[in-house]
Amino acid sequence: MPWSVRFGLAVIGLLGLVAVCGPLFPLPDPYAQNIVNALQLPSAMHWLGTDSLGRDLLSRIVAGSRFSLLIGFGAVAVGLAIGLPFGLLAGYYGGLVDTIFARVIDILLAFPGIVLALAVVAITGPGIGNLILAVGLRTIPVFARVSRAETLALRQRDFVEAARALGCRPYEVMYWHILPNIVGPLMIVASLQTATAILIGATLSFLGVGVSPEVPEWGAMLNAGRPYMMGHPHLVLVPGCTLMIAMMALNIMGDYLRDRLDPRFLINRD
Amino acid sequence: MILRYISKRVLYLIPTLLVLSFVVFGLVRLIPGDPVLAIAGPDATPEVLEEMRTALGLNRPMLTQYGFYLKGLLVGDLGTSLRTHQQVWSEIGRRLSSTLELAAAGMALSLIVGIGLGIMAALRPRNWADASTRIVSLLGVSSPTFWTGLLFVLAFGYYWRLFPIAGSGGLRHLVLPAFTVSLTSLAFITRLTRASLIEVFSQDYIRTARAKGASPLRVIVHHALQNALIAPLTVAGLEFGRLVSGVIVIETIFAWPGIGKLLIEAIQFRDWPVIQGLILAFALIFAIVNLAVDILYGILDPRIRLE
Amino acid sequence: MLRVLSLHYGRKILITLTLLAATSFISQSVTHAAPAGRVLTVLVPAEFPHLDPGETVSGDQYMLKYHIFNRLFTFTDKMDPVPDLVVKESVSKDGTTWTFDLRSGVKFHNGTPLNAEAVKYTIERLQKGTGNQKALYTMIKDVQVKGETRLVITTDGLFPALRNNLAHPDAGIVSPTADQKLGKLFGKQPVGAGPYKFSEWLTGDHITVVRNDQYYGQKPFYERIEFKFVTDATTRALMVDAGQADVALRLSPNDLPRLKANPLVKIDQVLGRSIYFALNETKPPFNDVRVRKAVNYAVDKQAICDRILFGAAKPSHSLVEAVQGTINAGFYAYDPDRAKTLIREAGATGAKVILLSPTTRYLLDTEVSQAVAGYLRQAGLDVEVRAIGDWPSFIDTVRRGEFNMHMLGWGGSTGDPDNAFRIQLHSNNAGKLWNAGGYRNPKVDRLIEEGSKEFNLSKRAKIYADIQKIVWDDAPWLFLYRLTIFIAHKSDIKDIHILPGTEMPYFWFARQ
Repeated sequence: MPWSVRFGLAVIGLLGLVAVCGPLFPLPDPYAQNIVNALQLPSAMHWLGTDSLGRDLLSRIVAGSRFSLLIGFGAVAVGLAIGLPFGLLAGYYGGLVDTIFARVIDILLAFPGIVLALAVVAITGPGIGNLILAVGLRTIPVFARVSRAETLALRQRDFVEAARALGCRPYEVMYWHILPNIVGPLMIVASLQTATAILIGATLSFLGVGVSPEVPEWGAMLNAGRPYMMGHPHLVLVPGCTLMIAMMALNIMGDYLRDRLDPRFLINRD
Repeated sequence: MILRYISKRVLYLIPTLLVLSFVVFGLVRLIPGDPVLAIAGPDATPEVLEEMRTALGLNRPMLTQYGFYLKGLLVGDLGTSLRTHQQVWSEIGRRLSSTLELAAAGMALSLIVGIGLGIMAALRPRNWADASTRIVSLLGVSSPTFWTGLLFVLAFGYYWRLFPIAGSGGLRHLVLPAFTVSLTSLAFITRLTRASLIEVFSQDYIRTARAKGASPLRVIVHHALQNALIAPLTVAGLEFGRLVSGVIVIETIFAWPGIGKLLIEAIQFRDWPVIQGLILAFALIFAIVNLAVDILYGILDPRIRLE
Repeated sequence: MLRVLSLHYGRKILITLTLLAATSFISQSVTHAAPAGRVLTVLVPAEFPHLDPGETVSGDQYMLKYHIFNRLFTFTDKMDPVPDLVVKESVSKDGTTWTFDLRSGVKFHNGTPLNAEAVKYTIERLQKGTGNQKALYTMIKDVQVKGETRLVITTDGLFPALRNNLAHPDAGIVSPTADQKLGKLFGKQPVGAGPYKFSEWLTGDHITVVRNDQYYGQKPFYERIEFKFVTDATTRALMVDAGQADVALRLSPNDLPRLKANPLVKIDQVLGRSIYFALNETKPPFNDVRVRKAVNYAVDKQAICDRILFGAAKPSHSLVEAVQGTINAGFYAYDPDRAKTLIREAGATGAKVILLSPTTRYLLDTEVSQAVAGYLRQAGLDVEVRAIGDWPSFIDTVRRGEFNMHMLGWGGSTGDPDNAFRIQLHSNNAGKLWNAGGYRNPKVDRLIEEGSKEFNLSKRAKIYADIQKIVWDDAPWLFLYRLTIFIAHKSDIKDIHILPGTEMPYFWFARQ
């Protein structure tokens, strides 16, 4: 395994660990304010300094990992849960189902990512659940497209023909024969979509429509730190770098999986 | 043959847009918040509000409103802004050219620099130029645009006083936002060019050309590039659509007077006609660009046409 | 063949894109070719939809209208109304008939004369229209034109503050000819008679005004003023600091230290609006005055002013301090123990409180809201902060009563206490946006009525002082602080005036 991939794996592992075990670390409460201590630079007591309300930056970054991963995985889960069956059915049955499906997907894809998410959040209001929904909406057509394409290709293959000839019912064919074979491409798309989802979530929070301001989400922290950028750049640098590193790790993993499993997917980054 | 392919694709566009307009219409009306309240201000009496509502035609049933809207659409009339009482298409049109300028500049940058870097990296694989290009492109893909934008403003606009910090005006004002916008696409195009060029280099006809005594330069330009560039160029087309939506954040940071900022303002004021018009505009641009790429791809690769 | 095609198309795409970009640059640079003359560049935070005096949605709108239109009266820097277009005035014995003689020979920017007819037209235009500023003229019953420059206004009952209303930035006199010609478009191409006339508006980018050489007052120094829209406060500060603009409005206090250290930049400040949280008295826990008082004791206002606002605010000593004749009504010192005790006595420990906060409407509003929530939690309340990003949703949520406390700021654009107190404290207005907390006190109602009819200035002052004392004790709000507004400009620019009520600077006296 090349070094870059080891790095990527390490980062993701760290992120997961921190997200799950975060509360167990002996860090100050990420929500505890201490106005008198606001805007401190890194010190022994606060390893990364404090933000504008005196909250410890390190513990907020750690807590933020949880939210980012929640958004990332949540959006992908939504996309898989709805997009996968859609694509599978469309690809398997073809004909009218497929045509309708293609139209719906086109419409969903006609919205550029952020615009759609913005519109959804404007309707549903802020909150992390709504954010996951908004971002997830965008991943649905991506997964649908991939599973449809793969299913179409696999449908012609011999072993599928054989299964049908042997009398397997449609859902059995889909579940036992087609599904296991599209896991590979789906994983690639999933890892890349996680990165995109986290990014869109952070962007929305940056624009101020994502989560409640007390929530330590990285994008929101970047937005909150922006007015203090000139005098206290660490408020912006720390969440920004963390976001970037997390995204890098996810992209590295996605690329690696793609190189190993399926060299065809050069274009379908969306 | 080609004509039929093109016209088929164009025809597909129309029902999609129609459904889109209906969806957008309904979606936008679901956003909570009364535009009349936002415009009239919090002290307005109920009578003033009612007067306004009637004047703007907002108290007719939903379907009637949609009917009027559709009729207008067919003529090219996108309605009147609730806020400024101007035609929506003129509001959008003015800002659209600014956004397109930004997107085009970003596109040009990412193509020129991206392809250039990709070629450089492909020519010397496995050495420092290649490795550093790969790292830089990875950073480009992973960095949130709002963050790089802020960094650029701080570094190039403020500390080193090289470029204006915000606003539009001339070539100098364009540099920072265009560069920020181009970063993600640049990274992607670099990687793509490098990968596809390397693949082409390993082909037999390249070796034949070299064996026949062609100079490396001629080999690259005349033989390799033509094929290697198909992938990046078609991707570039898709990227243009993304760029147009990516400018929303950039326009906020750099105070660039485009449709991204207009969208955010319209949402703030619940200016429904403008929001609808903008979403349709975004979708239309996206759709047209995708269409163009599809057509291009169809021309270049006959196999797809026959599908 | 395929290869030739691909190269052909590849090049074509590249060339087309470059040409597209190039033509855009060129066209942009051409339109922005700068003509000669002294230009002032002012960075404005928020754009507005139009410049019609009938309707206002933002303070920056006031500023533009203040330059383009002039009024019968104008405000001194202490918010006292003094005559501007009026040269002689008198009031009848019963106080309801006002006679104004206007300056003669004044012309609008389009050359038509500004006479009594034009003033009558302006007043009736607002009264007939649907804009939110028609409230300025609701008390005017009748307007009579008695000659080219003489005007008689009759009010519906006593209204001593008429001159304040006539000095308001939205009381600008419009050109009847232009209004009739442009109709709905008047707001986009306004024609007034002010020191500057409207020149160009590139939506989303800037508005340019040029000097009115026919102006009867002191001739302004700057030939042109360019108002550029830059939404982000830090960006505005950076631009002024780097010398890329002359004036920047509404800066964030945390950008101040850097600007103060720059010898080429000077910072002007003026006291602005009062910020407070309106408490919802219609439901628990704030229906109990003890809890309301407790909340006032629970928050360390000085710390907020010092640490979050960087000293750009002073804790409030009264409600709505930005009006004439404000007094020091008291002070709720930071006393967390007393707060806890009061809350416990009222049985409100653990009570759920929904706190509504706007975002980016007032300076650092989200930060302050979070800090307040933190203090209230320490005092024993269970606070949930809901930040609502846009004003329409905010107003919506407030109107539906789904809150226990929400943040508001009051500037007092007429400087007159009646306007401020009536809308926020009168029981007639309970349930409306500015009195959404439902404050009702019959004694205060009576005093407000008295005050609006009282011509005698010292008696008036006493009435309003009494109102302030009573309300301070009733504690319908969490009184926070009064903001200081900062404007940064190049240090060689002098005489920029700032109108405290609307926090707005004006530039026709400015010079270098």
